Amino acid sequence: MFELEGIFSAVGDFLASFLGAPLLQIVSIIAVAGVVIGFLMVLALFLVWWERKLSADFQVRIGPMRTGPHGVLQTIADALKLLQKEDIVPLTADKKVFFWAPVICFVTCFLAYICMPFGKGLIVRDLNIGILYIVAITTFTVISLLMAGWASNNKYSLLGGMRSAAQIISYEVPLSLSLLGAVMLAQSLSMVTIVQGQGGSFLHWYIWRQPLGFLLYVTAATAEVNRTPFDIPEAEQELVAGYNIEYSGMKFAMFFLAEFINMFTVCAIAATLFLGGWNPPFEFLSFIPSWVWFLGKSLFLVFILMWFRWTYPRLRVDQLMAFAWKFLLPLAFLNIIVTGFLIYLFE
Amino acid sequence: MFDLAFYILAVLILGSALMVVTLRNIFHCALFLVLCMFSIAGIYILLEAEFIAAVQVLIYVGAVTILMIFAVMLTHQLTGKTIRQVNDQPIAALFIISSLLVLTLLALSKTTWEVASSSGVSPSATELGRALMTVYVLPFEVVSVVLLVALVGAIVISRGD
Amino acid sequence: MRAARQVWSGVYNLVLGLVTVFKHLGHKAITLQYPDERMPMFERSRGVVVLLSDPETGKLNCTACMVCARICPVYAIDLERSEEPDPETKKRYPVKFEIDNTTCAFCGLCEEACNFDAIKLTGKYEFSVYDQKTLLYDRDFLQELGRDVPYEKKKKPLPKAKAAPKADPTSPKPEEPASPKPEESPEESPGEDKPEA
Repeated sequence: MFELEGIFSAVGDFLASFLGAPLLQIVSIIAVAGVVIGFLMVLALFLVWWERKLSADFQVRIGPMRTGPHGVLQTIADALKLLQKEDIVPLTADKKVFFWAPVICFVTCFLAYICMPFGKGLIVRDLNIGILYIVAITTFTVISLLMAGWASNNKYSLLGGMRSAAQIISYEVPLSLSLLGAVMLAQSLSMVTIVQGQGGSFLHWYIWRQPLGFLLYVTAATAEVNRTPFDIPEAEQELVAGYNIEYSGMKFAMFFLAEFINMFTVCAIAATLFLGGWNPPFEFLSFIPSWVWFLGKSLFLVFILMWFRWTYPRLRVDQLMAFAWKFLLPLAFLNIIVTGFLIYLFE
Repeated sequence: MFDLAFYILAVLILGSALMVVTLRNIFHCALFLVLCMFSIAGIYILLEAEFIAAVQVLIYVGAVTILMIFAVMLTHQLTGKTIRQVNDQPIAALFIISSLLVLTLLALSKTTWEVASSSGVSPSATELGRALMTVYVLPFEVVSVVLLVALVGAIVISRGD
Repeated sequence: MRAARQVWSGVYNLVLGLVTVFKHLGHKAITLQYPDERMPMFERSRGVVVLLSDPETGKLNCTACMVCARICPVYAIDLERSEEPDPETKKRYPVKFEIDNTTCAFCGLCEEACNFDAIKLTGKYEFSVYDQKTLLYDRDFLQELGRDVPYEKKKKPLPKAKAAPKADPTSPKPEEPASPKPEESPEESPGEDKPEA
C-alpha cells in the first residue's frame, strides 16, 4: 500500500513529538502549503511539457526532445530562462496594478486546492461548502485578468482582458449550475462527501446519473480556462496574446503556470464530482492507492481538453456568448429540474 | 489567533473602504472595493458562516464589482481619468452626516439588544437552504421575481425601442 | 425535427473531428531532428558552389576561362588566371578563385556555363558562421569541398585542336533547341560551341 495518508500522519506525529502545540500549528500549515504548492508547480511544469508533446504527436511532429529524455526538463529550462529575463514594465502602465495582477492570478489558482480531495483522507481542509468555495475563489482569476488587461495600457491586452472577463463570467453560470446536479445527488457541498457518495464500482459514479451535467461542465470548463475552442481572449490572430501581451519574464511565467494549474483544477473538479474522485472503478482494484486514481482521472480529463484544443477551431465572440446564454444555460436549468424531479421520484 | 485575524481583517476593511472613497483613479477604487468585499467575507468566516462567506465572494467579488469594473472600462470618459472626490458643499454634507451620526447613536443607545444564544439559526448551508425553502419560501420567491423584473427591465431599457 | 437533425449532424461532426485527430496519435513523426538527422538533398539541389577536381590527377578541372565569372549575375566569383599553363596537364589553372557566398544567389548559371565540369552546385545548404568574412571561400577551400562530390563527365574534354568543334558534323547550330541530338541534352550543345566563340 502506498497511501500517502499514513506518511503524512507519520510526519505529523514526528513533528508533534518535539514541537509545542502553537508552533506545530504554524509549522504544519506551512508544511502542508509547501507540499501542495510544490506538487502543483511540478504538475504545471509537467502539463506544459505534456501539452507540447501531445500537440506534437497530434500534428505528427516530435516536440521537445533535447532537454532530458524526451525533453521532460524543457519546461524547467524555459522557466529558468524566464526567471533571468528582464522584467519590462511599459512606460505608461499602471505600475502597481501591473505588478499585482500576476500575483493575484498565481495565488488564487492555488487556493482552490484547499478542499480538493487528492486521495482517501488526503485533503487540506474538508470545508462543508467545498465546491461552492472553489467556484467562489476562482472568480478572482477574472479580476486578475481584468487588472492585467487594464494596467498594461495596451489596446490588445485591454480587449483580451475584457473578452476573457466577459467569457468567464458568462460561462461561470452554466458551470456552477451543471455542478448542482452532482451536489443534489450527494446532498452535500463537501467534496469528501461527494466522493464518498460515489463509492463502490464505477457504476456509482455520478456521470451515469448526470451525463448532461458532465457534458455541460466539460464544455463550460473549457471556456472557463480560456482554452480552444473558446480561447477568444487569447486569439493570436486578432489580439497577439490577449491580456498578457505586455508581460515578460517571471510575471509572464506566473500567468502561464496559473493557466495550466487552472486547467488541472477544473479537470480535478470534474473527476471528483462526476468520475468518482479517488474511488477505484472496481472493488478489486482498490490495492492501487487512491491518489493514483484521482490523478489518473484528472489527467485523463486534461488529455481530453488538450485533445479538444488540437481539434476544434476557435469560435467567434458572438457565437461564444450565444452558446453560453442560449444553449448551455437552458440545458443546465433543464438538467437541474430533471435531476430534482428524478430524485423526488426515486428517493 | 482569532483576535489577531479579526484585527487584520478590520484594518483591511476600513483601509480599503477609505481607499475606495479617497482614491482619484476610479479603476483603483473598484479594485479596493474588491479587497473590501473579500475582507468582509473573511469576517463571515470568523463568524463560522462559511456559506455566507462563499456567497459574498461569489456575488460581490465575482459579479458586482466585476460589473462595476466593466462599466468603468467601457465608459470611455472614465478610464484613466482622475476624478474629484469632493464637491463644493462641505457644510451641507457635514450637517447631514452629523445629524445622521446623532440619529444612529441615539437609536443604538435606546435599543435594548437581545443577545442571541449560540444555538440560534445555524448558518450551515443545509439549514439555510431548508429554511429558505420552507419557512421563508414566500420572501425567497418574491426576491427572485424582483430579480426577474430587474432583468426584463434592463433588457427593455437597453433595447431602446 | 430539422433542429434535431442539425444537432445530430453537429455532434457527429464534432466527434468525427476528434476521431480524426486521435488517429494521428502515435503516428511516426514526419519531421526530422535537424542537426542529428538531415534530409537527403536531391541530386540537382542548388546549395554551396564547389570546384571539382579530376579524380585521377587530383587537379582542378578549371581552366580559368572566366565564363563563370562573366555569367555570374551578382559578381560573386573573383577569378584570376595563371600566367603559365600547368606543366603536367598543359592547361591553365586559376591562381585565385574566390566565391563570395554572401552575394551568391545559387542560380546555377556558372555550372551551366562551365565547359569543363569544373564548377558545381551541391546539396550542402548550411552556411551559418560567426564571421561574415569566412563566407568568402577561396580556391583551396572550394577544391576541398568539391573533393568527394560525384559528378558525371557530361561534357566532352577540351578538344585538342581548336577546329575540332567545327569539324563535328552532328553539332547543331547555336540556339537551336528544337532539334537536339537524342543522346545530348540541349544544355550541352552551347557548351561545345562556346570555346570557339
